Amino acid sequence: MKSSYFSKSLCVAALFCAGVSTFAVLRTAVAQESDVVAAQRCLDRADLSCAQRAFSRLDKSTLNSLEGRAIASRLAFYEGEYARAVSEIRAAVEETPEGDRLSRDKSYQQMLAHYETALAVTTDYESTEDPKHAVRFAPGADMILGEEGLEVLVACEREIAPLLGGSPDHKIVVELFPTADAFIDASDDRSPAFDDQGRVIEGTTRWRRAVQTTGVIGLSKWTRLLVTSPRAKPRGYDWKDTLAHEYIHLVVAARSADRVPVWLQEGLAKALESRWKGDSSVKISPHQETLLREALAADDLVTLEEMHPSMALLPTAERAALAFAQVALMVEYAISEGGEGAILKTIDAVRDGADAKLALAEGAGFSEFSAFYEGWLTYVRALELTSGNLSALPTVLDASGDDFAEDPLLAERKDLADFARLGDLLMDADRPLAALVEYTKATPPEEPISPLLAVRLARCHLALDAPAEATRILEESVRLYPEFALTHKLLGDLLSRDGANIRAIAAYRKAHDLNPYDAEIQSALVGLYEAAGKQKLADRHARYGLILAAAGRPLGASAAQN
Amino acid sequence: MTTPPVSIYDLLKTLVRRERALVLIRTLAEAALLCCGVVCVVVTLAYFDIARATALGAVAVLSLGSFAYWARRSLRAWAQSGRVTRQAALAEAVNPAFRGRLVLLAERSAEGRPGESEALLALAERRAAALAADLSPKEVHPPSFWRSAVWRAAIALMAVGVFQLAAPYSLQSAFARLSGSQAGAEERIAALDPDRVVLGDIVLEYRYPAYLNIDTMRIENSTGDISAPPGTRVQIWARTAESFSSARLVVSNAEGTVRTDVLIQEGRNLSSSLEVVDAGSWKIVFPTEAGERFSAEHVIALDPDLAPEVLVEAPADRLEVAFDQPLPVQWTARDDYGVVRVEAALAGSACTDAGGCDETAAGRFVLREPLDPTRQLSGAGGFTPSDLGMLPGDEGSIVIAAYDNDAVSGAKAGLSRRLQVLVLGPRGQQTRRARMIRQLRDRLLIVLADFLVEPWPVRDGNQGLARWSGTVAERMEPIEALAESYWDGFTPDTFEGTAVVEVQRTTTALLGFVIEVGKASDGGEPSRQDQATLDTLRDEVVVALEQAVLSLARVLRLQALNKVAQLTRSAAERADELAEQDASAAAARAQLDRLQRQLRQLANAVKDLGTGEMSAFIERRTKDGLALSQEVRRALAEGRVDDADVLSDRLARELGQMAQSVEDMQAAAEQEANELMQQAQDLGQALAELEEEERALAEETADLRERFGKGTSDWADQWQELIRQATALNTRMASASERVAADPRRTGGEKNRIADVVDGTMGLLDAVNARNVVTGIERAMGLERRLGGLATVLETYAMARRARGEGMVEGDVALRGDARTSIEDVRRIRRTLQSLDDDAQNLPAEALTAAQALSRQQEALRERGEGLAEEAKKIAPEFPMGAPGLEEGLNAALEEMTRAVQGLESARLVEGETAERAAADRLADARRAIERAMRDAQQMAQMSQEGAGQEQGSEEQPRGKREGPEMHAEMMEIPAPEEFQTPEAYRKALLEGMEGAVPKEFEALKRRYYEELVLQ
Repeated sequence: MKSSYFSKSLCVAALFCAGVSTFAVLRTAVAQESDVVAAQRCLDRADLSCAQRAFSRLDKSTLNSLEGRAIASRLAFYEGEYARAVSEIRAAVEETPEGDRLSRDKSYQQMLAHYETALAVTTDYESTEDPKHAVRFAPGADMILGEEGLEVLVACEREIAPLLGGSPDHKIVVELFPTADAFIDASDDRSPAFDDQGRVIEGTTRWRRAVQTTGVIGLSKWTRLLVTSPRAKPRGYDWKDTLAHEYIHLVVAARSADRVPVWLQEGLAKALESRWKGDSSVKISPHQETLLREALAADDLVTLEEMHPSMALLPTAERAALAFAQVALMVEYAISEGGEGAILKTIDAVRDGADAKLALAEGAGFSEFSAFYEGWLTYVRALELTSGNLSALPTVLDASGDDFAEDPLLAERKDLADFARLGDLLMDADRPLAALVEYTKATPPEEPISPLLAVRLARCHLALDAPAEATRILEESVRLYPEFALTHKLLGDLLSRDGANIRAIAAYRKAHDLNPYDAEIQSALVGLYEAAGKQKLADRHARYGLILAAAGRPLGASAAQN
Repeated sequence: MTTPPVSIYDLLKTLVRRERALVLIRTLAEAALLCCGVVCVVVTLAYFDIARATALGAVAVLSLGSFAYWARRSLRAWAQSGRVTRQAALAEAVNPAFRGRLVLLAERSAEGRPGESEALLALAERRAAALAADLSPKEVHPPSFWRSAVWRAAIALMAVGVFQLAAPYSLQSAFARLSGSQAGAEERIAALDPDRVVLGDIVLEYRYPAYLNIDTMRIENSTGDISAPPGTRVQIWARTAESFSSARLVVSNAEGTVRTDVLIQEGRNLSSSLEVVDAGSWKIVFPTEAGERFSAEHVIALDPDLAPEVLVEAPADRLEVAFDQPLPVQWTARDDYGVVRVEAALAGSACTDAGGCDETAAGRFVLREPLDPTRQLSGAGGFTPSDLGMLPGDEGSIVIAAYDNDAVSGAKAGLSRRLQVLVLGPRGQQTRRARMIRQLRDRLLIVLADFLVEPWPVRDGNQGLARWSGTVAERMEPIEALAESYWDGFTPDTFEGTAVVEVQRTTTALLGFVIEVGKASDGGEPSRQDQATLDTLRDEVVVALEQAVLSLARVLRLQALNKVAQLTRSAAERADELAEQDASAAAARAQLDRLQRQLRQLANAVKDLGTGEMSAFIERRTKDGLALSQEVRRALAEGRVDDADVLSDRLARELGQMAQSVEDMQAAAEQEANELMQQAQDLGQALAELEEEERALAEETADLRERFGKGTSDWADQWQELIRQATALNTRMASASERVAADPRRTGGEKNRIADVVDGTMGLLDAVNARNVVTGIERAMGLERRLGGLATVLETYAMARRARGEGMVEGDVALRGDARTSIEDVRRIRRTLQSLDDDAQNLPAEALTAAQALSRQQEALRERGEGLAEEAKKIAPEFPMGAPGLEEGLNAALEEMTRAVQGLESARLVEGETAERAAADRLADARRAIERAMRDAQQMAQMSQEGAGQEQGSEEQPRGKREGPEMHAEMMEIPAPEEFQTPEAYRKALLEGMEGAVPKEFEALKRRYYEELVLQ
């Protein structure tokens, strides 16, 4: 009996132990499995910190598994560690058993190709970093962007992140691509492009087509900020605001588990993108003001439904521009009604599953979105919108257009562009008065002077010794087309000549912000800052001048100096 | 203050003195004339060698007779002049107001007659004296009294003086002969040389060398002097006064003396011959017992066979031509006896002015070698630099050499002036054309600038306009000069030629109008209408200049872009090679040198792109590339090989990106251009189809008209009559308008009214010409109203003038008559038009239905035309030089189509048909316009590609004839006769060619062809 009892007890104990051990094993396995999934899910909702935490819990065996390698690769890709991402996914591809190839190989192969492209594009990129941020750029003249890019990020962290619930814990990586092609390669997930009949278009991808069509120059994706360098545009662009804009997308996505719909995302980004420089007003361009005024008059605003799923899918560039203006003004209205806390309330509510429209309305203190919308309409109608018939500045990348491609008027009106070209030829022949006649012909009386023409007309007036008229034209153009670097530069020249140094610095600064590759601007700023006793700033721009002269880091300079 | 009374007697004495003085002068002049006459007689008698006694008698008779007549005449005149009654009568004749008082007083000067009242005589004297105060002696005895005599004497003296200077013998000798103191020339010679044998009846016969191809020439009664080309044999016959038994012909020249026997017949008839070899003399020596006697010496002069004269015409003294391009020279070779060969030659050491070109030398090309020597040969071109052995890149001077047929002393060469020739290869041609286009653009740009900034309208009326037109002509001079210097550059079949021609056309029209305005307004201000026309014409010039500058600039820019693309690509490849090399190797440094050179070239090329965005982008990237390459160089210099490697990689990548961008841009531009050409081609095709259908519809309308309409000839006659009437009306009123405009007394109201009427008559004429019934009726009604208004205005102003007492303006009645007549004419025209309209309305129902069906068809065509017009509107501005005439043609066609629709709808078949045909013609115009635009665009594209080819580094290689696109117009050549195997073959071929029809532009060539045949 005893033995039987003992045996039974032993068996029970053994069974218990076996059960316990099995349970432990099973529990560990389940836990490991759930951390992989958790990491995946974290990445899916743009929460890199969460993914990093989940990933850190994985044991060695899991890390060496296919799934482990895959998640390690994906995580590395999100962190911007392309070499590691490629090596992990390559190992995964190589280790995939024969039987699994059909099911897994395809996605792994896609990942590998994608990551390899990103690695190839950025292989020798340099960076300017602090513990929390990294600005990566192609070696060469783009080195000029690192220092100020980092400053923008820090300013964003200080001015904008608190409004959005704080910056994510992970390091924020910015990549600045020197060409549109590089930007597309690095940001393309290789989804096939389809034509109108639904057939696959060979030789391109959906993303490439979208970029070429819409002129997208910045992106917050894979918890990184991917931005085209101003060098890719002949006259540069407002890349700092773009950086801030994408930063806001990143923070909002992270905070809301990427649940904030596109229209609200864009509204928030647009409304807050100037705050990094201490400007709390919402900046919509005169062109957008024109569109909004016309849409209000015709009762033809873009509905939020039209904006879903993507603003980029709106039928025309004008509708897209109008939509951006609308949502930015909605956020501005929400802030004006509900205070700055309205933003965070809205984001959190959306994260928790609330309808975005209602969340925004509630954040602003309304119980119904319709009431919020009515209030917004009243608010917008009360704005003083410009009455000029302005067009948007076209986006031209990598010399893909002709000489007037960046001008909103001349790009569309070949007849007028011809007069402008004649004016150019006459200016080259040192016949400014005759050139003035031709430029005047290129200016339709019913429309404001286009930015390129404004610069040319101003040069004519200068050559004819009429600087006052030149200044007047430039100031008007700056008001209408603030993103045109040449206008700022020429205005800076004029102001500097007249001894209005402070205003000249402001003009040159604006020109520099748009197009930092102009050595003349750097040189002018050096002189003006020195005259103003701001030696540190003068030194900075002198350094930029050296970088431009050497098309990269000057000899003897180390990365630390940046 | 009264004039003191003149003494009548003093006056009469004065008149006596003046007449005597005049008589004296005349007498002296006549004496001089008489002497001259005597001299003439003496000289004439001496000239005709009249016997001395006879001569003396004749001189004596004539001299004495003339002297007697002169003396008598002079004495009589002297005596008459002293009579006071004569002077009084002459004065009375001058002033009849003396009423005989002067003669009375003259007669009473000696003493009064008995019974006459002293008081009355005194009264007569006072009155006569009062009249005499105003009488001038010159009036009574005018200077003409002696003037003619003095003139005659002067002329006679001058004649004698001239004779003295020019006559073969002096006056003295003539008088000496008459006086018997001097003998004749022969007598004198005989007296000096008693051995001289006088030769008479000399006859010379010239037998020219065969090569001269001149018939034998015989000269009777020759002086004996010989003048002939070398090689000529001269047969001499002469007679002597005495008989001789033997004689020898002695020919002397620089070489020495040659003696030849002389054949003597009958003792006095001599015969011999000599060959002209050199200049010298001949004479005949007669041996006699007393020694040798000689004939006079006769000159032998050489008639030289000169070297040919060669004239060359060329557009410039320095020509730049392709190695296979016929030289644009026209030459003419002339020789006094015949040209045997003309050749082009390199004017090096092998050619000299004296000896022509060495036949063994290279660089010669025979242009002509006629079958028979010809005194004149001419030709154009006919040879290329390669014919002379010149290669691309060579430069040298060429001459045209012509050789004569001198078989005696050897062929002599004549050389033309030298022409400098630079031989271009394909690259050279492209460079030249690019340079030409650039220069043309720059010059046109200056002209444009001058037009844009000049004050307009011109001040100072037509004087100012005249000055301005001179300025404009001066402005255009650089363009003309350029067109001349690039002789083959601006042909109308090239786009740059089109541009220049258009600029010239508009400028000529403008300047022509300025001249017309100047004539019309006679120095005043141009009228408002003229000023408006001037504005329009000037605007057209500006537009033509703008268009020309733009198109040329566009080509240059495209060329620059291609160049930039090639340089960028090349630099990127070189940078790749550099990156792959070991940076420390010497080869890498050489590669870097080349790369930097290319980048610098690129930086220069970018400047030609202009000041736009694209050039800014490329310029910046190029600068970066240069900066990077400099960094690489510095790293290598400092031994930092690893850094150099890294930088080289980066440089390669940067340049690769840039090359890719530029290529994408180029590809996009090319695609755009191809799409445009395709669209244009489709549009041209659609226009051709529409034109064809429009013509077919017009034929259908014509059929319908003939089936149902009034007799075609009736209609046609009616329309012809209408056109005649409308033309006459227009001419009448235009003429009246000109008269009114030129009349300063006419008011502005009258001038404007009549100008308005002239516009109306023009409109009516247009409508009638277009067979447009409805518009014609409308315009006739309008014109009737205007004429009525004009008549009223004329009447009103005439009344106003009468009221002001100004009198009637000349031609006013006629003008008002014209106005009334014109009103009647217009009414008649309107009635005829109405009748035509009614005829159309009275067509049978079947015809009406058919016409309306045609109208619907026409409407469908019109709608298609509208679609094409929209397409044209989009396409035209896309062409580099626009598509002038395309939109205009289409719009005009649409107007005609609309008219056709309306005409057919109302069954006005003539109007419909006319409009349809006009629409088809306008469509053809539009089609031609788009074809021209496409041609120009293709040329520009080709040109830009050629420009790109310059930088490909291809070596200059001779290009085969006809290979590749020809950039120059080939010169047409006439085959020379010697190119045929026989003259018969040549003539046969020529005549066959003459029989064939040739295009109009070759008519002149054909004619020249025939002329050549005649000449040869």
